[in-house]
Amino acid sequence: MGHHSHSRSLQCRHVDAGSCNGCEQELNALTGSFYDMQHVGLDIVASPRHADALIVTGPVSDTMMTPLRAVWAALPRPKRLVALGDCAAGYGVFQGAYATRGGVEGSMRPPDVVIRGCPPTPAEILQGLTAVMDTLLEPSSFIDSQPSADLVEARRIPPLEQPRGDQTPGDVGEREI
Amino acid sequence: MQKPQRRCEPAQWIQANEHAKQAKSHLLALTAYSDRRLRSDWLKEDGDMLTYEVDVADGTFPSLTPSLPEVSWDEREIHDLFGYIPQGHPDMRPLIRTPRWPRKFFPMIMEAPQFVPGDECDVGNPPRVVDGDGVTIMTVGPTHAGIIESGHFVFSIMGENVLHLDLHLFQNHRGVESWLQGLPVTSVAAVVSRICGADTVSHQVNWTMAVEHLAGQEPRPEVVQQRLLLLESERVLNHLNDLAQIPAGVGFAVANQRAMAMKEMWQRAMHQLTGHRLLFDTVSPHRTVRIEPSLLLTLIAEMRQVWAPWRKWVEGHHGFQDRMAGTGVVTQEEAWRLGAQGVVARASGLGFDARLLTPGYGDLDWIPACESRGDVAARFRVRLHEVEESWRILEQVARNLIGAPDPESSGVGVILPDLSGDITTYTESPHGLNAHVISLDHGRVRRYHVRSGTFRNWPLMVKAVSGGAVGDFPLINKSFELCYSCTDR
Repeated sequence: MGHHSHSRSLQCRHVDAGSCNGCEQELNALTGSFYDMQHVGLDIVASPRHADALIVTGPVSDTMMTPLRAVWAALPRPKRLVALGDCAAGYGVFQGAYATRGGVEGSMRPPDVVIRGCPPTPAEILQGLTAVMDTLLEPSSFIDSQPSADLVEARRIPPLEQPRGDQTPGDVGEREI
Repeated sequence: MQKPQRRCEPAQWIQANEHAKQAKSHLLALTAYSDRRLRSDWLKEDGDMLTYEVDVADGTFPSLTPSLPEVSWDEREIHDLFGYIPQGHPDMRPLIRTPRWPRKFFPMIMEAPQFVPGDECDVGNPPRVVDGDGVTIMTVGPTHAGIIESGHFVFSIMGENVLHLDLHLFQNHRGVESWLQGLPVTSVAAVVSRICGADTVSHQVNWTMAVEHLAGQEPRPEVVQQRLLLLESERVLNHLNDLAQIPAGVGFAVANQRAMAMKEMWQRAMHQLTGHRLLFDTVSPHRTVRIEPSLLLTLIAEMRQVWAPWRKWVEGHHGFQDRMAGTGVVTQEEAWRLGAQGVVARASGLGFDARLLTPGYGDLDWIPACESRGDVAARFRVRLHEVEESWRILEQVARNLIGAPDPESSGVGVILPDLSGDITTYTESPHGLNAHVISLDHGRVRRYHVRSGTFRNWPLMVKAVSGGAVGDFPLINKSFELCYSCTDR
């Protein structure tokens, strides 16, 4: 069982699952000099293997559902799932369209943290991600014998179903992970 | 502005559309309908529109692609979503369909379509790659290593050179056009505002103009001018973003960061002036958000002070200019043949800018951009020029509007509950001409087709990348800066 060994940092992987790119623009703004997310210990990393949290945007399009699950499965534990924006949270204007799958909760599992807004402002995203960092910073989450209730819950998550056999490797995006 | 449709026999369909292209008209959209017909909308050089219709007899229609290659994707999309077969199309691979879609699932001819992937699913959708000794296949996506929309790219590479790039887009396909069908007109604006987070004002104005036209109500002149402020503010916002991304494509971090800071300044001001950092929900048939003209003039004066030294600096940076010059060339001939839009067209010697035909722009002093070399440097310069021209437009309009009445309450007013009719509208967005082909039936949407500028430009990006070094891909890609959402829909 993995431990979160850095006291004030959170590395995130981002997956767009059908967003209008509004959430991407505002998340991207955090990397700029006005917000400087790295300064507070936040970063977007290139591999899910290096990530503590997965940030999902969009209502989860059918085509992106399988790659999204594969990325989540590739994150080491303990890990956190973040729904960024109203679409990922399950409230967006496209919920119900034939190729959407109900946001993060409808397509995978309930997110640990939801950041509402269409899109949320960079300041709100920063606040939300800091809250994620705090859930991993609970002292008990570093001690295997006394895991936090939150972490216990995270470990109870049933394994995700395997990608369907009807997917071609190209659609699963295996080479990325 | 809408001319009556000209019905074609299938035998005349190709000739009629070829003739429109030869007459230098711009194809706005190729639209299919669930009642087995197809329609093409052309914008003539003088601003008039030309519409052709053809029946989809026995489920097939003559493909335009062999003579008008710009509609290749449109026809593949129609095949995927309607099941109509474009006879004679040279590339009938699925464009939007994935192997998860059931065989008989054609969402645009169904009421309330839904699907569950199962045994009756389609066969695979393999990429097209180059085969042979020494060829490496490099796949990217659909998930990416940064904060990027999802798309799947399959490169065939020999050494450093890209032999072929196969695009597998539409990973973000949600079924937006189907979702709009049946909506009451009062519910459309919120959805249309979110078709694309980058070009949202353009899409909102298209919908608003459509309702106004069908209702026979002309907006007041100051409302038209307020919309112009929003359209041009959106152009500045996006061009600042895209001008920041191009240096990022060559690892020029300081130029990237300083331009991103200008974008953030503009966004914060937009939040103050319109209530939204990305201008969502600012234009609808009921309401056009009013930007306070005096504050806008102050903002532009402040922006010019940080812009001028940045522009001088990046234009004088030898290494940066060197990387852009001659990279990712789109020839004028190719741009015309494949229907290039917006910045991409204007960087390749096609001077077309739909603003020249848009109400309100004719009385203003501004110069459309036109570069001829078609490389990354040309696309960069077009944006530099357009930011400054947008500020000049904004200043002229803002000065006209000082003291004008508040148009907040001066939308169409009451939308007739049984509004009906067909209309095609367009605007020049930061990423090219966006066209909406709309049919309303007694106050509800019967068909809503969105053809974005980026949809046309993606195949041109492939042309610009092929034959070049794979290391130039990020730079070329960012010089197009195409969005996925309004392509995938």
